[in-house]
Amino acid sequence: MTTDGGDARPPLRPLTIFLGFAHLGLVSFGGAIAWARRLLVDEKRWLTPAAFNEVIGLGQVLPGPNVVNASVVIGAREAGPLGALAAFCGIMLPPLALVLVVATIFAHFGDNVVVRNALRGSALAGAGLIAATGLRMAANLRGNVVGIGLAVLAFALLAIVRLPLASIVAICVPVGCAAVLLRARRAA
Amino acid sequence: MTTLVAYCKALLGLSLVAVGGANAVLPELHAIAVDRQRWLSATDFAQLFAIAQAAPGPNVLVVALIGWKLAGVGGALASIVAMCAPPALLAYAVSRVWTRFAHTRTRLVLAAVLAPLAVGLVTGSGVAVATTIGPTTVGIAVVCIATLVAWRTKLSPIVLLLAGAAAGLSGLL
Repeated sequence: MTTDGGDARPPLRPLTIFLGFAHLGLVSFGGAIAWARRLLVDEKRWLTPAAFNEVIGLGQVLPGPNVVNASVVIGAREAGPLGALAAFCGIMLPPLALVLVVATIFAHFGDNVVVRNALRGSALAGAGLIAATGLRMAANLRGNVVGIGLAVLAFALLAIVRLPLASIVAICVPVGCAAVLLRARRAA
Repeated sequence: MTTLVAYCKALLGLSLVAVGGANAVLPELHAIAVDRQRWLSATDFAQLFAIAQAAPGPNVLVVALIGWKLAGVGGALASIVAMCAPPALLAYAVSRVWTRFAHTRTRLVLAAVLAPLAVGLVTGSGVAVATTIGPTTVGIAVVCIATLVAWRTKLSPIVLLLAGAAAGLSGLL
């Protein structure tokens, strides 16, 4: 199974994979998916657009951090377990080192009222960014009544009822499967 | 050390239900680390969240920052592995059979269920995170404006976070 859609290119070496994903990790401001497409498909040409959509689609359907999952799968396909490890370390460790430096600096000023107020404002804007990410993802649901109903149910259970995540998944997956199958049967 | 072990155990469990990625687990992380176990204050949580949002890299870095707060650099590394390894192994296993299942009913039904579930969880997580910060009316307005701008325009997230920080300086949020 290749990730490059038949492109005749020798598999990438682990060091190349590490450096490529380190690059991706360090430029990915505000969520990594958009940057991943630009870097891996347009610039480095490691994946065709179709292969990229397939790997990201897989990441979005499965649990866990999407781009991290996708990186591990890409790394594994190129260079086996070592490639997976190289991709994981690349996307994770350089940004982690950077964020720990920033957090250490902020820790010294954490009690300063100006810093506190600024971080509070930034956190509220960050919450808005996450909600907006969800709303952008909702564009794919247009016209899909079952999908919209399921999204609203999950939203309400998380934001209003405040159920634990595992309970929400345990409720929504069977309900969703039943609804999707029932609708498919009625349409047939 | 026992705190770190308990934190990593919680992450191992959460990692495999994190439909919608790291953003979707934030409310649960807050419930565990702040409300139930009192490892962190609500302010600490909001600050770590803000720093992780502003930094480049995957969203899951906030998990590592909490681990760092609990147990230093080792805590950051242990927590990130606990959160990422189980789903990454699952993704790798599934990727090997995924293309073979391309048009099967199981895959289509799962995708039809999990995609909207992720939409609801990520959107709901934004609202829940804002709630945990406990904003004033002005603060709620900031959340709504940030949501609308990020949803409807292509403005860089960094600009929005800086604007939020600037609004925060007023002390009214």
